[in-house]
Amino acid sequence: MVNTAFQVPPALAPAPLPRWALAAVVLLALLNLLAALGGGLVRLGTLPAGAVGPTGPQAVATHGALLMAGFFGTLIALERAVALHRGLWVPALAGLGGLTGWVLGAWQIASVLWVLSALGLLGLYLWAGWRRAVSQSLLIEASGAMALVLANLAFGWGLSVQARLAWSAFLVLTIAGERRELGRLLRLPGFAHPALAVVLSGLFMSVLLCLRMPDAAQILWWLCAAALSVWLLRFDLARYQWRARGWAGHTAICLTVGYGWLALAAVVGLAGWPVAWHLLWLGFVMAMVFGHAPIMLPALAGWRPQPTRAALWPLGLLGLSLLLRLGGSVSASGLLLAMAGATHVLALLLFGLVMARAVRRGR
Amino acid sequence: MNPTPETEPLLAAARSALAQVLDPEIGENLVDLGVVADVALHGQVLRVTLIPTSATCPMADVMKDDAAEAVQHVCPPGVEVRVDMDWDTVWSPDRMSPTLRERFGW
Repeated sequence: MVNTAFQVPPALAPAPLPRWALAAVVLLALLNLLAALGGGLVRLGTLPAGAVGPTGPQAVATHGALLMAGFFGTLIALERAVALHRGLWVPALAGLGGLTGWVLGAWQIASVLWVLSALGLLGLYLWAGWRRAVSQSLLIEASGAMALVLANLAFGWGLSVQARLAWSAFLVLTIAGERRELGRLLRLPGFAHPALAVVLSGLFMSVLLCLRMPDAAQILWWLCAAALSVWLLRFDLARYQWRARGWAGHTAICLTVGYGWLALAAVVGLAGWPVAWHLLWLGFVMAMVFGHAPIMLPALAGWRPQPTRAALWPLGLLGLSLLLRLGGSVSASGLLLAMAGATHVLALLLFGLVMARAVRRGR
Repeated sequence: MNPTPETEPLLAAARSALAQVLDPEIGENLVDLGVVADVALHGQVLRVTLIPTSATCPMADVMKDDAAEAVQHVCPPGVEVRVDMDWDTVWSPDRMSPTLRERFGW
């Protein structure tokens, strides 16, 4: 039955990163999220300002930076470090950067740490291309890392408008790269992939344009975002997978809803309403987080949450909160905005509870 | 390594087990997706080689663990299961099963 003529070579790949170290970095990410949420809720009038902590002046002043460079910078770099079995310092620096700014108020040091982390993320993509495979999707994700470098530099230089657009490009390009990868499963019309390349190039160009012409850059950004939403709704794999087994169906539904929010954000952005940014971040990006969290938990923590459609409820609540936000912003209603903030957090808490229950019922 | 009449039942059972393992994000099984490059018995080691669809997918280790667990269940005592990723081989849609290819428009 067995053949002994062949010797199995030892595994050459480095071992997966230790779980305790991953947990420490996840904790850093969550602390950044806590501060970002606290600062955001004070801005919306949901919570009163505090003297220190998540509702203190540091968190309020840098809510966006903590969410983008701190939380998402840590989370996305952590995913890449886990995939490549190396470079855990990259997300760790992003998380520590946020804490350095939030707790110590040392924002120049924080921005240096964030720039180093973003360069590290770019390095991880280069390593993946060198040692694994170069693909269009990898190049797109690497362009997202370049946008993160620019965003963190802009933050350090006090260019908040440029940083906001570049951070957004980091997230959108990273997501688009991941979807492009899965798009290889589908046979698409010949123009689809070149069209996506043009749209994503436009998104990246808007980051560069923003350095000199911020208003024109934002118009380009939202035009490309609109085109991207149409592309994703029409060509992405998610539309085939709504009823897929396991968590894949949940992921696909979250993604599709997120594409809808991306489309609405683009329309609102082209109309010139600043609330478009939060429709993008909380509608599109957070839908991606809700969609991917259940399938990332096994990779990060070894937990196997049991699939449940109840995990879609927080997505619905988040959608309701965004409608409140849109209504509050358009009508300049402080009450609606405060309610929107509370509902944003409720949606996140509900998602955490549903995930905890799914983990307890899973393996 | 070519299967022999003695090893074929175990290798077939291993492939059947792999057909029960889902890609976490796509929700399709590893065999239909065409990511199973090879299943071979070397001594007391049953080696499964997978082809990744992404260079930076953090779920690759989860797929390896799931594949190893599923295959170990069909192996007799004493046979060790090892699952490796072949980063040198590029996955292509041609590797998918005819059913899946049809569903995805090929």
